[in-house]
Amino acid sequence: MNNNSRAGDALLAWACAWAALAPLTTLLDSLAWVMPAVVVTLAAMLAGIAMRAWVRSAPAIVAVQLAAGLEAVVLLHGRGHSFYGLPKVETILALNNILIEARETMQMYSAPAPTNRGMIVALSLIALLVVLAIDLLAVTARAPAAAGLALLTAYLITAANRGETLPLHYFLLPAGLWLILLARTGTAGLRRWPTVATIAGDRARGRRPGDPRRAFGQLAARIGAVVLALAVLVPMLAPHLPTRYLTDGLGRSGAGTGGSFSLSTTLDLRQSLESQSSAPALKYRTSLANVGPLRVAVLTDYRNGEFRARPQYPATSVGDTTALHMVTALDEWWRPLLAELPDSARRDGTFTAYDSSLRSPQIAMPYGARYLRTGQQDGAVEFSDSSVEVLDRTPEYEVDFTAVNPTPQMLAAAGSFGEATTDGSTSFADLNAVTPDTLAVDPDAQPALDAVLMDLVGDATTDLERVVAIQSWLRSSEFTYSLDLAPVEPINGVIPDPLTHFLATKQGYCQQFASAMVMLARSAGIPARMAIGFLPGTVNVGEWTVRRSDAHAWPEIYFSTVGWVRFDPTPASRSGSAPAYARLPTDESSSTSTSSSSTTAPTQRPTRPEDGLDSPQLGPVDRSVWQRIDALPTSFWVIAAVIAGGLAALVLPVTSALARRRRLAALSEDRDIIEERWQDLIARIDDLGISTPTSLTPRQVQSHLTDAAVLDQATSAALGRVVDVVEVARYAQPGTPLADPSADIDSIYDSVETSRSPRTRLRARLVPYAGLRSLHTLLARVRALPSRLSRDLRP
Amino acid sequence: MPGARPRRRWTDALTLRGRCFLAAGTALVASGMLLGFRDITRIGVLVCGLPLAILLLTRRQRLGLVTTRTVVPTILPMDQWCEVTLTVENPGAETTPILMAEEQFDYALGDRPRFLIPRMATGASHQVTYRVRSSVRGRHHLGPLGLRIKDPFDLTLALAVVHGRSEVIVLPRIVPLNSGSISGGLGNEGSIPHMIALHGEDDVSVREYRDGDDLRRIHWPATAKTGDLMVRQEDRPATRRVVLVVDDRAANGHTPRSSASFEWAITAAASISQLLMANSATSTHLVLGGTAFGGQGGDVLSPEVALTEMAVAELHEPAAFTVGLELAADAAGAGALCVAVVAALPQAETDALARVRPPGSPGLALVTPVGDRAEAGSEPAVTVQRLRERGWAAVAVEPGMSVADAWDALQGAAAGVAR
Repeated sequence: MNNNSRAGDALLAWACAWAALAPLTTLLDSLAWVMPAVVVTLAAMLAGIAMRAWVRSAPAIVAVQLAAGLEAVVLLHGRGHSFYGLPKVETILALNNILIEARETMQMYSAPAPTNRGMIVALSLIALLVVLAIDLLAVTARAPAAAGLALLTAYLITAANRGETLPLHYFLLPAGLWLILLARTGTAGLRRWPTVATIAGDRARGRRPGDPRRAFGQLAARIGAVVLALAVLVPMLAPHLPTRYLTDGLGRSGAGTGGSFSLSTTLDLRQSLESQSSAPALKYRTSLANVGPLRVAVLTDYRNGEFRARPQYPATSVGDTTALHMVTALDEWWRPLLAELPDSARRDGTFTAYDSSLRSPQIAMPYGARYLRTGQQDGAVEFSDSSVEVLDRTPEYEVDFTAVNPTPQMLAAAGSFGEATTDGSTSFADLNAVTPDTLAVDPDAQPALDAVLMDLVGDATTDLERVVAIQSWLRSSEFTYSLDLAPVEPINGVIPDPLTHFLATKQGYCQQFASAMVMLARSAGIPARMAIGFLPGTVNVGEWTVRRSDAHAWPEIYFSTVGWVRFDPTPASRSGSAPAYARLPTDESSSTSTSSSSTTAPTQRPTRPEDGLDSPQLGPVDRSVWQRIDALPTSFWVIAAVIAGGLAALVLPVTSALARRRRLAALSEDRDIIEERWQDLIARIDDLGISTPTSLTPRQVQSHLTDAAVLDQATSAALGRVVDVVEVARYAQPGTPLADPSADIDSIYDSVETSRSPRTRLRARLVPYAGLRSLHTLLARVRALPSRLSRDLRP
Repeated sequence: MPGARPRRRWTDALTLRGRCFLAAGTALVASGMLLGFRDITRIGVLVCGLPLAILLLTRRQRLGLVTTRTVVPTILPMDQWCEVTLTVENPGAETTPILMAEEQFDYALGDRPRFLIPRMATGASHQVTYRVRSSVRGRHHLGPLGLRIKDPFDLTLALAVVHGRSEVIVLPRIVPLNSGSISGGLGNEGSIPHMIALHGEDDVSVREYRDGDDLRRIHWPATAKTGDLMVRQEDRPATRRVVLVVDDRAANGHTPRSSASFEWAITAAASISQLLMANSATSTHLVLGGTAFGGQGGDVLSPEVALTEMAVAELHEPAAFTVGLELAADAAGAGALCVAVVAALPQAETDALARVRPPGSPGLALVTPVGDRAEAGSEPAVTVQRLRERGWAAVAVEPGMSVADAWDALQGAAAGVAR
């Protein structure tokens, strides 16, 4: 096997191809296809190595590789139909039948598809083609850059079919291997430069410089690491439009194409959530510190593993002056309750939205909306579940709302739904649209739900205790917030429904968490429904911006006497803390004194201000340092960054000036000072782009500078005087009086500087070499510090 | 300062591949962002970030290198090796990148040596030694040093040149010639180098007239002063004098001189000069390119200097040759062995050449063709005939004739003339 077989490159190309194919595993439900495909591609790769050793013709090499790969396919899958391992006509027919099976699978199933025999053969062939293409380009034709195209294709097969960003390692591995392949070929070009210059004068001692080829490899590694880091970071920060497909049928259809968009009411929020789009969904101002989440729709109907919107009639038309349900609720139901509540629990506010890009009929409103002003008569409809729809897209509207925040005691007092239905709260339940649907549980998920419920709410006596137990469980560290759901794997041979799958894998995003909580609550006999909308967004000088990625889903739980109450089971990393009333399960059980004081004392404050709904007193004093930092306007950061950048730019000039001053101060002899200033002048002129070899005598420097910097008469006369002084300082008897060359030195530098381009001048000022050198010395000292300390400390 | 600016515009340094990467990457980033595919953006950033990162990380303001070359020996016979030690120093403030260096010199010196120069910090210097040899005479320049600066991914390429050259002189080929009658010394038959009395000022003294003294040697001022007839007394250094004329006209009329013809002439002249100068202490005058070398001011033209001059000889305008013939005539003076290696000459130049030979001195001429093709009126035979008529021994050199053969033929012709 000679050098031409390039086994190393071939292995690397093979690994690279497989790294690009790896994301395919996410499209299939098992890994059964991987081993056969690996064997097939290995056969092709080894054939390539062997062929290259003694054949130069690329077509011949590829033909043999293809034959080897196909032979491997026949041996693996066409056993019964081959003639001593050689394919027969029958074999081809059999393979064809297998491939037809694969085609049907691909057409019938969406990802993840089952891994049947047809898919295994088809994927083996796809992998073979990818490996062949990459091997041909990167190894046989020595053009790894072009092999990037083949890799890109393999990678995009998956990326385009998934509709979401692939996990990072699926990108890093092929990209890294491809860079190595590129760098190997690039560095191999150095072989045409076989000799390496040795360090001058050291040949006798046999000291050789470091191998430049290795240094080249290190440079490649450094550049590669920087670029990979960039490739990971930049797309995270760069704004992206929502995912869209140029052709229908690939992946999922996009959430929206124009400037407006709507939350999917069949509730797959993932696209909205992962859209890091900086395009705001909505901007608003509010009279309160925080309005809490904005609700867009209420979903009660659960079918086939997802919530659907179904309007809850009767509906009433809403004009600018029409009172919404909340007004009635406040008057009729909340008055006695409010009497018990601290003043802080009820807050009236206004909410002014503008730039809303939500499509009709959706509209985002804070909780407790009393009046909606869209500027149109009868422009909106309110349904019996108090959700509101608009007839036309409404970019600007105003809402009066009353944020009411129940206390845990109130909720606890509501008891449990099953017991409370007797006294007059039935009509209250009717008013609140507590339909049988709000208690309907998905029969498929019932076993899984019951199993969980048993452990969670076994001895709870009130609905609040049950709900809080469910919520705490979902928020516990057992669950992982991730936009990527775990791959679906059959449980006991059955593909589980989404809810059971979530409860088993404990990985998902707000939609799964909210659905699970709704279903668990319903299983426990508590009416529950799903609300979708937005998190409050970010605030900048009173202007709140809600982005599409702020889309969120949460459950609402019904408490007789109180009504629908918002909960949030999604882990805190995404949604922040749960509402205060839902986080105090111990208040009642642990100590009655706390309980009584909290119900009676109007000064009682939530244990921690979380959502704006329960924090009217939220002032700067109460905010933690980090919150206060968070609230700083963007302009502050811009200014701070500019100032920091400016200071950083001054580091080098200041270091070099300080170093120069220190060196001069350390010298007492006139001659030393003159020598120092002379060297300094040469160094500074060097910064201006005119290098002077160190070996020159002052006179040589003079003629060199006169030529190189094209000095005028006066300046070269000044240089002559300086050189004279330097010569006297160097060679005359000590004690000879010396003239002060400062003025001449300054005029020489100024003259050289004015002849340079502004860019060179700026660079010389900002990045003086002397500064770099002193910085290096400093860094070297810092780096040596640990070893010095350890040496000093050693007994 | 011998320095090189690797690039002017920032994209200049990119290779075609680098530009393709940049363009493709930008397109991928744009489409990734527009279509909302972070995967595509990632790849785009990877592809266009690569050339950008390389430009940023390997950007260099200037590359101020200084080279010195030590050549041993600086003058070398044809087809012999000389060793060159090239030292590259980095006096600049920045560490140089890994440089792919290629020494640039005439292809006549052989393959250009290529070598890698590792990274050099300020003041560091590296050296590399290589050998060259040439079968083409002349002054060959070594350097400048060509540099390529590339990155491991082949996305950027900067070319630079470190100025500063050295030279090596390759002497003409010397063919061993039959000394024959030439070196036989005095008394032998044949064309011996003439013994002539020099009219040099150094060796003039005055003595009384004796019978038999040449009346022309009477020193009249001294005679007037002393009242007796006084004559100039000359120590008659028996210097054997040779005047060697090499025809270096670039053209004869409209016929351009072929380099084969000129190289043949130089080889012949060099071989003849070495033969004559080696065998006896002759004072040799070499007339070349309108200049006469040797003889003036008592300087004796050494064989080395003569060879060096012939090594670097180039073709000149025909006018220079005419001047050279006058100088040759002066150098020949009263008597000298005149050897001419000429191409076919026009009539006027033939006559001028014929006059170089002082009466009584032998004259030898090798006449080569001018160009590769014969042209009417400028054939060697015509010139040979004309020179023979004026007492020269001349031989027309046939194409393909070796120098040694031509020399033997010339010696035969000279014997004929002497007889």
